Amino acid sequence: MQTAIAPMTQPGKSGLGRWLSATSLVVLAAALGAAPVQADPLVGKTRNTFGMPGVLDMPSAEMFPDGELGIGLTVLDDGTSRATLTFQIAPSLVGAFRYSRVPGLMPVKGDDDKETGAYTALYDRSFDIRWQMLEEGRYRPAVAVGMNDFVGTGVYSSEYIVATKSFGDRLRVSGGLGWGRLGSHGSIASMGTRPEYDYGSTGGQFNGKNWFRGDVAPFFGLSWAMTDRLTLKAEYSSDAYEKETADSPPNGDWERRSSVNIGADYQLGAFTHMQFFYMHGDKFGFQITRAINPQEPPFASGIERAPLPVQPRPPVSADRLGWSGAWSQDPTAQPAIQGALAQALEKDGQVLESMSLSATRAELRIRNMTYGAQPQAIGHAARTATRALPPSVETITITSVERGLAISSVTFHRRDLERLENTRALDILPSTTITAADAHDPAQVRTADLYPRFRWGLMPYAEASIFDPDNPLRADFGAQLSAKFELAPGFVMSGLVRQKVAGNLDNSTRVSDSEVQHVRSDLVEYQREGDLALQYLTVSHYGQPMPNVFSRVTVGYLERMYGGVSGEMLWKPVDSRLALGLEANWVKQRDFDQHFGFQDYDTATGHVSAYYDFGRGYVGELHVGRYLAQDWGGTIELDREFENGWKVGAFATITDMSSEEYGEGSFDKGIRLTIPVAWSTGKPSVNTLKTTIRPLQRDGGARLDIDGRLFDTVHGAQTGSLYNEWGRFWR
Amino acid sequence: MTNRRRAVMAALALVAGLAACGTDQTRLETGREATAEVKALLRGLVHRGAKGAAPDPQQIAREALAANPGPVMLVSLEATKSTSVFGLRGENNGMRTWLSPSGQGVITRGGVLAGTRGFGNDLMSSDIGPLIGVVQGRRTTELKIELRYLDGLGKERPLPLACRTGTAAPTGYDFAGMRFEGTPVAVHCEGYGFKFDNSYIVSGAGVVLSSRQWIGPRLGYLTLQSLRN
Repeated sequence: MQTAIAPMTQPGKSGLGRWLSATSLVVLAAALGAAPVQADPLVGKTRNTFGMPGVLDMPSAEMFPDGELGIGLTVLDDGTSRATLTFQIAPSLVGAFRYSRVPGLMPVKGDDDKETGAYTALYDRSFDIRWQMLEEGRYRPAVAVGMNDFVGTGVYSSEYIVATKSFGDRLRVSGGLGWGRLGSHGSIASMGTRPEYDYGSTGGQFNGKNWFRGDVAPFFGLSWAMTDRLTLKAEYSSDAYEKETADSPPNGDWERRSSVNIGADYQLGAFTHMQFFYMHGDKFGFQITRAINPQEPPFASGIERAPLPVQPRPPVSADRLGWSGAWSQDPTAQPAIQGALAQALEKDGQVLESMSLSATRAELRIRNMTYGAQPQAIGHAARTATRALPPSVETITITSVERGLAISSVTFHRRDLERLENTRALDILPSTTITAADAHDPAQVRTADLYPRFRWGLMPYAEASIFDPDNPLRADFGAQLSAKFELAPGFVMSGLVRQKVAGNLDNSTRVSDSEVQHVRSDLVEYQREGDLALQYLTVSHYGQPMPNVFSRVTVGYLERMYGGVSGEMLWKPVDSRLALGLEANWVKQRDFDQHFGFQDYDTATGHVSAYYDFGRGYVGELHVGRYLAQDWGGTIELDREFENGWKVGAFATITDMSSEEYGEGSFDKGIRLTIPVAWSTGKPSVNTLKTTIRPLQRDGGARLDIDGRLFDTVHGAQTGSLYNEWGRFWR
Repeated sequence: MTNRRRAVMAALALVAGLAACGTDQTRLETGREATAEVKALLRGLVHRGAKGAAPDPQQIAREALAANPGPVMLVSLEATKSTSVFGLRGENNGMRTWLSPSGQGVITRGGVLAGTRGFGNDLMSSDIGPLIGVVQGRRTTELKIELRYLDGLGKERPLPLACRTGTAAPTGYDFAGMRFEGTPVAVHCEGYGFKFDNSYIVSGAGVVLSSRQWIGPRLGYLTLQSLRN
């Protein structure tokens, strides 16, 4: 495993880490019935100045541990800074998103929009990707191919192929060939032509025809782990720092005195590194990075109330009436049992929505308000049921309900619950069935006094703005009041009002320069004028018009910027990897103050969607249709979902809006993160923190931001997710 | 500090002090957590003094026996030095589930720890069949067991262990006004770089009277004293 080829053992990596890596095969084999081929890429410990695994400016063939997220900041003493977010997408594939400041690269425009000849700092965003195509062997080095800044303005645009070999536990040597920026010094050959860097470009387009074109130059690097914490690094750089050293235009104050860069990396903690470097005999630099691994929560997971245990049934001789099933003829039996179960489940953080009961079967429809993993909620409900149901009931079905939708039914033999309590979680799965729920089962009796149901909350909030060149971080703080009024299952009124108390989001002087309808780019206006802002106020209805089909209608102030009507249908059989959806909306743009008024702009927008679960946690989505600015096109999204609820994804939208009309960035793209609250607290929770990071928010390819879409509502309680999270069934 | 800054600080304090309140648990929680973090931080800064003396376990035991008619035991987690009374809440298949007032759970089979719940990083399930007979029979032998835990993703992972057992001369002690007499049984287990030593005092009838048992890599040892079996 990793420890065999890592250059050093991680300080503090106890037997626990070794055991976790050593037993993963055992568990997977048990889960899949066969031992799978385990990818085993070369993992690097230190980063280069761009935040990727590597030497200093140069890349290596190394990867990060699978699933690891990293954030880092690099600063050079000429004023260059690079903030990078990295993600190990798959064991052999790593990606990065970067926000950088490079002094002297941005032409200054006068009031007449003509260039003045002066230059200021360029704030730019870039994406990198690297694939380790060959794993390290005994004699063979690991080999990777990668591209830096491959969609964007292109100041860091470069491609490379690189090999890295480890010698013993402490020494690693890398060597490779670079194109673009990495082929700019000491080139040995040239492959076709590569256009010059364009200072005035709007960027954002895939510069595909430039990849691996132009001059090629070799580079080398080595890293030596002197101690478990300290790593020394040196490299021969093939980056000429052309733009930074250029005399015309006079950009930076770089002087490239040497091709050799040196640096030292010090590991501060299990996840934090600090690095100093001296670049080209001219500039000093500093970097601090922090890794977050979704697979390693900071808190002990499972700090919660223990579930009630299974209560085995008494022998027949001890309860002949109960075993006979004659009790089911008594009309008072079900109300009494249902009342007791509803009470017990409420204490457990769940709602018993309805229930059916006969002499031999019981079906409990539950809404899980507490547990991040639905199997845990189902496990609690099944155990609670054994404590209340008469002995003749042998079949127990737990149906998951979300927003009034009966999503899936998990059916147990009661004798299996009795026999297998607290055994291996997977032991009970073969005799458990997961089926679609009958949405309109006439035998279901609704629990008394559940509806109407009113809930409210008053809490603080924070809203931040990043990537504004004038002030990279602005934020507002305030209080928000939310209310939810459920009239009947799946029929909900909800609203949210925010009052800002302090902050500086209103200091922004950025005015949207968009040439098309400002469907999203007026965000600053909404932030500035939104004093006592109504974030949303809607009435929604969810339904199941036919088997495997779910529906949603939402009316009202749908989101901060739009109000109107939204309708959606989703076809998603319980065990299907594929789901198909249709969404149609008519919306009108809201006033900046986010009270009840509207602006003049209204439009119809909607999409046809396909969702596909590729397995191993990868879920893809494709949305094709009309966007808010009446542009037509498609959005492609890919998420990696972890079993504990973490999600990391990327999306891109291409529409018929031209890149000139779109403006800087050329098309809409970004990264999104979902972090379960339970991951960071250890306590059970269904809540998540979600964030979307866009290099730029423009007006092309903008979708409605509506709460409670159908796929997200049903996905977590269907077969795929239930299997993935089944390990928590007996928790 | 300028007036404006003071106003901002006061406003921030107000927001931080705004305890999340209401009835919508799913929405409130994030705010609650944030508020609790800030409060804990402040409390930590303000009160750095020593805590009150730990309550006397024998006193806790006497009170628990008086209050509970059923089987009870006294359990303490070494790592946090917290002691609590666990009452029997269920019996199934030779497995006994004990719950504490604060909702933590301990599962035993024949007095041997088979699982825990609610502590965080719990022992989820185990194959300890051979160990139970050896502990109850106070025998010296070698055997294999398997303990299972959830990893950071929530997937169950086995920890196979090889164990040796041994016994010592019978001993006796007084606790909470009761006399306990039995044979000490020691169990040493190793596997995947982990090792631990469990010890049990087992009565002549094969009942585990008290024990010190390892829960797992992250939780350490649990001490159990049977009060009423």
